[in-house]
Amino acid sequence: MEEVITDTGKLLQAAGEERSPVSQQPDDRCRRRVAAVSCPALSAERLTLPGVMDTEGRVDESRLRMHILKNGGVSPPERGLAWCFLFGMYPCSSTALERSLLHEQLVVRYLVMRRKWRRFLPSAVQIQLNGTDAELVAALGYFEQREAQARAQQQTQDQSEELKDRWTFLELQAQILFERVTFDQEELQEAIRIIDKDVPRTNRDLNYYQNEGLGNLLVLRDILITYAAFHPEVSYAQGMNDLCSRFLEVLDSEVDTFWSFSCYMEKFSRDFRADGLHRKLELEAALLKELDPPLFSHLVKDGMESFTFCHRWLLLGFQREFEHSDALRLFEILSCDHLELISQQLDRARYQERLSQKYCTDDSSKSDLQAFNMDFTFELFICAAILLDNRESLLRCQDDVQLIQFTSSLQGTLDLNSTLQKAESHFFNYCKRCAWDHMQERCRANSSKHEDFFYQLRSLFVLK
Amino acid sequence: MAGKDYNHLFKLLIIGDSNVGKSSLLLRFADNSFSGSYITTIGVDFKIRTVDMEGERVKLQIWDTAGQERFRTITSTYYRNTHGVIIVYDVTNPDSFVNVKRWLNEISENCDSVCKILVGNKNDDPTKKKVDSQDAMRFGETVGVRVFETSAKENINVEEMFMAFTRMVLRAKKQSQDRAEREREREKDTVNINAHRDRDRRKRGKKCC
Repeated sequence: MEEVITDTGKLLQAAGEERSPVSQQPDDRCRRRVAAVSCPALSAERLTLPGVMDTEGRVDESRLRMHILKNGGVSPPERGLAWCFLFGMYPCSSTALERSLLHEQLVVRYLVMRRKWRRFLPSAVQIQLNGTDAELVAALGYFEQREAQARAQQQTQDQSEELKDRWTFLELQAQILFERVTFDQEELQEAIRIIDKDVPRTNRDLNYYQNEGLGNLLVLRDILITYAAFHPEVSYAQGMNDLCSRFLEVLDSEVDTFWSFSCYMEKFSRDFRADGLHRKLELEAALLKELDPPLFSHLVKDGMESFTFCHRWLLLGFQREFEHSDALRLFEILSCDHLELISQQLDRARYQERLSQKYCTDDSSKSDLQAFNMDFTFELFICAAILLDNRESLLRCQDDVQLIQFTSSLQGTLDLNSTLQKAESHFFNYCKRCAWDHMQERCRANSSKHEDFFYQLRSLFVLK
Repeated sequence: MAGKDYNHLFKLLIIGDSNVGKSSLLLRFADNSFSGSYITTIGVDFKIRTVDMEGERVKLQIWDTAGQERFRTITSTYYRNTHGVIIVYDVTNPDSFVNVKRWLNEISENCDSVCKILVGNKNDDPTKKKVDSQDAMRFGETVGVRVFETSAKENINVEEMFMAFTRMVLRAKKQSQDRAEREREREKDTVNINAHRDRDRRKRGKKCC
């Protein structure tokens, strides 16, 4: 049962060769199989997007993001590789050669991590089945087939001395790295208990989980448990299964999914804590107050419960509101951070503004950065666009029952492109208004030394 | 309200551990179906069904909440204006039964007085059953809550449970209406007395002048 990690190099190569590309067409359905532990091929693959990748395989990050934004996502065949850079599993500055080494390291680390909790809680290695879910029993069968095949390949393949040495070294390194990590048995068991309940309830109607692909539910389980074990401050919360499933479907590799998901969570794990979600709901309310005060005051009057009807939208990134492929695309677009007040362009503008302020002796300058609420992410604008689009129906809602009814009625009916357009225009209008208000105030305060920032901002709008 | 098609409207809330079958119970009762396509409830969901009871139309608005603790602070806001709470556990999972106490605590933190019912779901395979009916009944008695055992999958006892609970909620409403009625009667008496006293006082006042 216990895997010997030093031999996984060949195991992985073998598994990688067999891997079917994510985006294969119709017959894909019947040929679905369980995701490989890893697919080294991806680290050497090239993005065909024009001007995004140089000859050595480095990626121009802002071009990649711009491309995603302008084209409304990448094409499905390139999605896997693009995500490796977008979410930061591979640094954009890495060359293809560096990536193949980095990839080996990531594989070994993941396997060492997974082995660590498996040894700590041997009883949790296998999912607890209560026998009522026949499909899940079959899924376990497919999953175990993968493990068995991997072990068989391990025994039959030869490996060069050099490769063996490298893997031994990497494994040792990983072991040292995770040596000091300790698990809280009770907490981890509790997390696994919930994961075991949620994994079978991940959207398994997706193509990805059809036939043998059903075994991917158990791959998802291993990833989630490994994440929970090594991130006790986040552990596991409902909704993470849906989120992680997106990565698995796109990357179709256990290791790549684990690392990409971890990178994503580094930025957004707060959303999965109760206070983080509360904050998001409050921000949404604050944004709507800016955009449409009458609608805002209608939604917070007696009988309504501060925007809780947006809970699912914001937790799952509208996953259940749009058609599946659109939801993936939206996730990709939101992850570009491009139309955000934290975007690179704005960062640059703000940096220059700070510079000019530094040399400015006039200290009447309050912080210019307060002109916008930096916490209004584009996702919140998407949410606001949906609300504003349904303004009339919302104004007719008299209590939170009707609000929830309204939210449910939108499931699967939204059009992504028009929603994006509207959100974008709300976003730019908000920026323009803020800049204008702020400028007026500045003028009143008789200070015209801060044109820099607004000049930059204006050019940003013109760019658009 | 114009065109009201019911005599009573009740808001019921379904709570309980994750994966005990809360959504399935609701789906069975509201749509008479059982879905093999399992998906976790995020936040809250709800369905409506109108039933006839004692010659009256009762509209039930049933809220189905997410079971995981992480987001309870958000879902607990749904307790407001609730007439009845259905606490569900899974008869094949003793942990979910142990946790019923915690759910009862949550109810008492959020509501003053509300009708409650305890439901052991997934009761369709005796070989898998781990929570003894007698134990559940005994526990129910100690906390003063009626216990039902159901199976949303096999459609056992679901309709009966919801109907019995609706009856309880309806009775509770009528009782409190009666009480309010009596209260008003008493108030009227008090008002009369006060009125008398007022008149007396006024008279006296007049006298004074």
